[in-house]
Amino acid sequence: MKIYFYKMLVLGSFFSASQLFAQQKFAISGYIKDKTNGEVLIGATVVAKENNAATSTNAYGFYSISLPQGPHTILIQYVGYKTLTKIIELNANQSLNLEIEEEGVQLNEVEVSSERPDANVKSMEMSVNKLDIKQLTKIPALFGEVDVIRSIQLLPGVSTVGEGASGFNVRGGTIDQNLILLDEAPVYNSSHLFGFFSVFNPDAVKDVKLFKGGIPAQYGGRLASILDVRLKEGNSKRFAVQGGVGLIFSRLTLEGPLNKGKGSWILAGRRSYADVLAIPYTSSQPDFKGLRLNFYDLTAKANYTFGAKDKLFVSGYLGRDEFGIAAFGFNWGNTTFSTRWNHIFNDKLFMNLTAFYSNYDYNLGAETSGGRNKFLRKANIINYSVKPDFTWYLNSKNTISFGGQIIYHTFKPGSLELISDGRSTSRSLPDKLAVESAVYLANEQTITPRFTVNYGLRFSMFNYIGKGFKQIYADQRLANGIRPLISTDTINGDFQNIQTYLNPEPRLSMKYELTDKSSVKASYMRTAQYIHLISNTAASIPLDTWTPSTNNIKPQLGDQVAVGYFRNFGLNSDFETSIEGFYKNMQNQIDYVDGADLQLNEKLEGELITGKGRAYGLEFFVKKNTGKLTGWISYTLSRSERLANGVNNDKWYPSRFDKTHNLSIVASYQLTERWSLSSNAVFGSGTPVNLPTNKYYFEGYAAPQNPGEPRNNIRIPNYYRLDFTATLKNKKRVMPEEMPTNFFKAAKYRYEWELIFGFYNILGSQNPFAIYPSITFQNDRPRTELKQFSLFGFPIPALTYNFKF
Amino acid sequence: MNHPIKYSILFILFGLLSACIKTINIDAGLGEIQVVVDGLLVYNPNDPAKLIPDTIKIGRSVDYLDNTSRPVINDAVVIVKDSLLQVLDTLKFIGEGKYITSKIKPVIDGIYILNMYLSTGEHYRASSYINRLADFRRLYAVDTIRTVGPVGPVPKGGFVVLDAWDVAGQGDRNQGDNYRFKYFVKRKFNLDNPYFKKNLNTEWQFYYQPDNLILASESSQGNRNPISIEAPFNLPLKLAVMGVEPAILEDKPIYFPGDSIKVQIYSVTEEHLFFYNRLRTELLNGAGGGFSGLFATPIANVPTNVLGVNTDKKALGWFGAASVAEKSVEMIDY
Repeated sequence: MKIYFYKMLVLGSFFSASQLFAQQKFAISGYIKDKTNGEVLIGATVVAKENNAATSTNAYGFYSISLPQGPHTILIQYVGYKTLTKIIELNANQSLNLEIEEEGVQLNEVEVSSERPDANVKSMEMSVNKLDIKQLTKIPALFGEVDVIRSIQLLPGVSTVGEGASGFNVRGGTIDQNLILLDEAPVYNSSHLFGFFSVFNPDAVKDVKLFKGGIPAQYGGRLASILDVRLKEGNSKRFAVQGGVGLIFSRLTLEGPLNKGKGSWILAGRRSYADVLAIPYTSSQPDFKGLRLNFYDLTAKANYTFGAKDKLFVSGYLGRDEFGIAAFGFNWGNTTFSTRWNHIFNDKLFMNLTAFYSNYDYNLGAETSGGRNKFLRKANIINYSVKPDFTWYLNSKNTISFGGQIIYHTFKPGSLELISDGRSTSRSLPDKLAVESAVYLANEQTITPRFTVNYGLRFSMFNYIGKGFKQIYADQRLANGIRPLISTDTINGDFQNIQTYLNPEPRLSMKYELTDKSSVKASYMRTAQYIHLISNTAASIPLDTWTPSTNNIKPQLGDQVAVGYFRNFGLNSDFETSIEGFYKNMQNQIDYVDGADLQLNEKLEGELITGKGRAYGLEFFVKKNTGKLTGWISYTLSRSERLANGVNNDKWYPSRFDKTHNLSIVASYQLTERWSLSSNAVFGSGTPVNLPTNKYYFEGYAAPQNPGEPRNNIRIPNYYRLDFTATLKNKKRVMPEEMPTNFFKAAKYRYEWELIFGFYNILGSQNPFAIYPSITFQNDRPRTELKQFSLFGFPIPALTYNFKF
Repeated sequence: MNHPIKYSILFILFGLLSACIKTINIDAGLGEIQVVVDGLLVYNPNDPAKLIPDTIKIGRSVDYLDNTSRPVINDAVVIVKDSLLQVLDTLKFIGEGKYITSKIKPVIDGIYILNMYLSTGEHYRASSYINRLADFRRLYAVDTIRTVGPVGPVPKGGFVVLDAWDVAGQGDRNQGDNYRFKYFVKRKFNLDNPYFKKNLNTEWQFYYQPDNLILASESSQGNRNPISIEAPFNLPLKLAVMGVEPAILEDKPIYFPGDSIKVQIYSVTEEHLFFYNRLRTELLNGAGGGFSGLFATPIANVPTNVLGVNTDKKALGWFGAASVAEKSVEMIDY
C-alpha cells in the first residue's frame, strides 16, 4: 500500500511538472468572504469557466487555483449566495480576495440566475454531510431551540439510542467513536441537560460538517466520524447584536470589528433558567433546598489579520451543567481554548498551525452537618495539542496536504474524598498519561477532468507513558470473567515509555463524474482510536470516564469501505440525491464482563473484554435546495453487530444502537414573505435491549434472569415523531439611503426579529425512551413487570423569540 | 408571577420530569426453568444454643411476567457436610420448599457443604465458609435537630447511628472483610410510612427493597492495604443503613418515639458479597425508571455457587454461611 502510495505521488508530480513546460501557469489565490459581515465562507466554489477547472475554499476561506496565462472568467459560487463573476487577465501569480452577497428569499420565481455548483456531485467528498446555520434554523427543534447535535441526527447514517441521550451514533459506532471538534479543539461531552441540547451555541456557529466515511488524512483518532464545528469569526464590518429568548434558556451574542476591519470578535452566551423560575415553587420545599438545575456556556472568538499573509485566531469555550440540592449534587463541563495561525507562504502554500487545550471534568458530591460528613468524587481528561496543517496547491491537478499533530493526554480517572464524622479518608486512581502523535501526507489528484483520486497516508503513534503504572493481568479469566491482577509496576520516570502503538492509516477516495449531474464515488479508510469512553450503558452519562490505550487496552482499529452514486435533478440541480453503501469492520472493541465495576476501580482493565464489530448499510438521501419548498428525505437501512468472547455464547449479537430502519423527512415551506412553516417526520426501528425472560425468588427478592445469557435479545417498539413549527418574521424595513452612524439609531432600521412557535411531537407519540424491568412490592411480595418510559408522550410546545440588529 | 408563565413552567417541568410510563407486554419467551437455592447458615453469638434454625429454601425459576406462581421443590433430600465430608445435618422439610437445620451449630472458620438430591435424580452441591465477626460497638438514637422546619413543626423523632468498625487485618482468607447489613424496625404506631406500612409492634419488620441490600467491603471503605487498619464505616454506608438520604437527615425524623430499630451485620465471604452485589445491581438496574432505564447496564445473570454434580443443568441462587453481629435500640420520648 505504501509503495503504491508513493508511486502515485511521484507520478502525479511528474505529470504535473511535464505540464508546466507545456504552458506557463499562474496561481490565483485569496479568501472568499460574505459581503455583509466579512465572514469567510467555507467550501465556496471557485470555477475558471473557460478551463472547466474548479477548486473550493478550505476551512479558513482560502483558495488557490492554477490557470494558464491569459484571460479568465472566474465564478464564485456558494449555496444561498449570488454567483459572482469576475473577469481577469492572468499574467502573474495573483491575489484575489472576493466578497459575495447573500441571495434574498425568492418567493415567486424559480431561481434561474445563479448557477448551482453541484458540489455534492463534483466534490471528492462522500459520506459527508454539511449543514450551515441557515439550514439548521429551518429545522423544527425541541422547545424551538436550534441544536447542532439533534439536527445531525436527522441525516443518513446518524442515529441515537433515545431522545435526550447524549451523543450520537454514526454508522453503527459508539458515541466515543465520534471526534467532535470545536474550532479544532476536541469536546469530550457535547451535551447540556443530559443530551437535550448540545454545547454548541447556534448563534456562534458558522459551519457544521460531519465526516462519516472517507475521512481525510488530516483527521484521525476516532473510528466512526468527525464532527467539525466551526465558529463564526465575528462581524468585521460593524458592531452587531443577536439573541433569543426561549422557554428553557436565552441567548445573547455580541460581535464587531477590530481595528477598522483588520480583525473581528464574537462573544456568545447562553443560560438556562429552569432553576430560577422554579424558585417560587421550590423555596418552601426542604427537599429542594439549594436547588441547582441549570447550564450555561460562553463562546468567544477573535481574529486579526497581520498583513496579507498572516491571520491569527483565538477561540474559547466554557460551559457547565449543574444539578443538585444543598446537600447533594453534581456538575460537569467542558473548557476548550484554541489558537490558530494562518500563514500564506506563497500563492500555492497555505499553513494553519493550531494549538489547543481541552478539559472535561465532572464532580459528584454530598455534604451534611456543615461539612463534618462529606464525599466528593472528581474525574477529568485534559489535552494539550499542536497541529500544523499545510495545503500545497501544486498545480491545477494536484493539491497536496501534509502535516501532523501531537496531543498530550492527562487522564484523571477518579478521586474520592470522604469525611465521616470529621474523619477524612481519600482514595484516588493514579493519573494515566499518554502522547498521541501523527503525521500525514495526501494528494488530491485530477487524473482526467472526470476522474479524481485522493490518496493519503496517516501514520499515527500512541505512547502510554509515565509517571504511571503498568499492570500485568493473567491471561486466564476467573469464573466471573475477570482477569486477576498479577503485578503492578510503578513507572517513576517522566515521559518514560510504557507501551507504544504504531498504526499506518491509509485513506483513499475516488470520484468519477458520469455526467455533469452525476458521479460515482468510492472510499476506503483505516482509522485508529487510542482513547476510549468507559461506559456500558446504552447512553453515556456525565460520570463516564475516558481511558487511554495501555499495555492491556489495545487501540481500536476500523476499516470502512463505501461506494456511492450521486445524481442531481432539475435545471438548476433543484434536487440532490445520493445512495451510499458502506461496510465497516472494527477491531479491539471494548466490552465488559458481566457486572463490571466501572467506577473508581483500580483493576478496571481486568474487567474489560475485547471484541470485534461490524456494521453495514445503505443510505438514501434526497435534498431539495430551491423554491418555496426545501428540505430533505433521509433513509438508512443498516445493521450493527458485535462479537466478544464470553458474551452471547461467543456469537454475533446486535449492538445496543442497531437500528434497522431510520427515516427522516425535513421540510420547510416559505408561505409568504413573513411566514414560513417547517416540519419533521421521523421513524426509527426499535433498538435491541437486554430484558429478562425468567426470574427467581431469593430472600424475598425477585432476581431477573436470562437463561443462555443472550445479549440484546429483545427489540423495543418502533419510534415515530412529527414536529411542526411556524415562523413569523418582521416586516421588511425600508432602509435609508445612508445608514446612521450611531449604532442605536441604525438599530431601528436593522432590527430584525422572528417568532418561532409550534409543537415537537405534535401527534403525542408515546415513543419508548427506555424499557426496563420493574419490581414493586405488594404485601412484601415482589411483582415484576416490564415498563415503558416515554419522555415526551404528548406535544411539547416550542416558543422562541429571536432578534438581531 | 402571573398565571400563564406559571403554567408554562409547570408544563415544561412536567414534560421533562414526569413524562409517561406504562406497563407493556413484550413476548420475551420463556427460557429454561432452573433449580433455585436460597439458604444461609448463621453463627450468631446472641444465640449460642442455636435456638433459631437455619433454613434452606429450594424452588424453581418462572416466567419474568408471571406474578402468580412460585414453584417450590418439596421432595428433595438436603444434607450439610463439613470439609471432611462428614454429615453434619440432614435437613428437615417443613413445607413450601423449606428445609431447616436441627443439629448443626455453625462456627467461625467453619466450612459447610450443601448436598441436594432431587427426586428427578439430579444432585447439586454448594459450599461456603464463615468469616470472623464485624466489630459492632454501638447503635444509638439521635433526635432530629430541628423542632421547626421550613414547612412547619417537625414531629418528635430522629434517626439511628451505627458505630461499627472494619476489623484490622485482612479477614476472609486474606481477601479482606466483607459485610452485608440488614435493618429491621418494630413500629409502635401504624404510621403511614412508605417503608413500614403494617403495624407490626410485635414483630421485626424488614424493608424488602433492593436498596436495603446494603453491602460493604474493605475496598469500598478505602482501606484495601496489605494490612488494613481499623476504621469506622463511612458516611454513605451509615446513611444507607438508616434508610435515609443525606438531604433530609436533619429535617425529618425517620423513627418515632416507641419505635425499635435492629441492625445486623453479616460477615460474608468475598464471593458471597459479589453475589449480593450482582443481585443488588440487577434489582436496581433501571429500577428508578425513566432516565435510569436508558442508563441501565446490560442485564447480566447473577452468579451462583450451586453446581450440578451429575447434571449439566445450571442452578441458581446461593448457599451462604455467615457470622452475624447485631444491636438494637429504642427511640425514647424526650
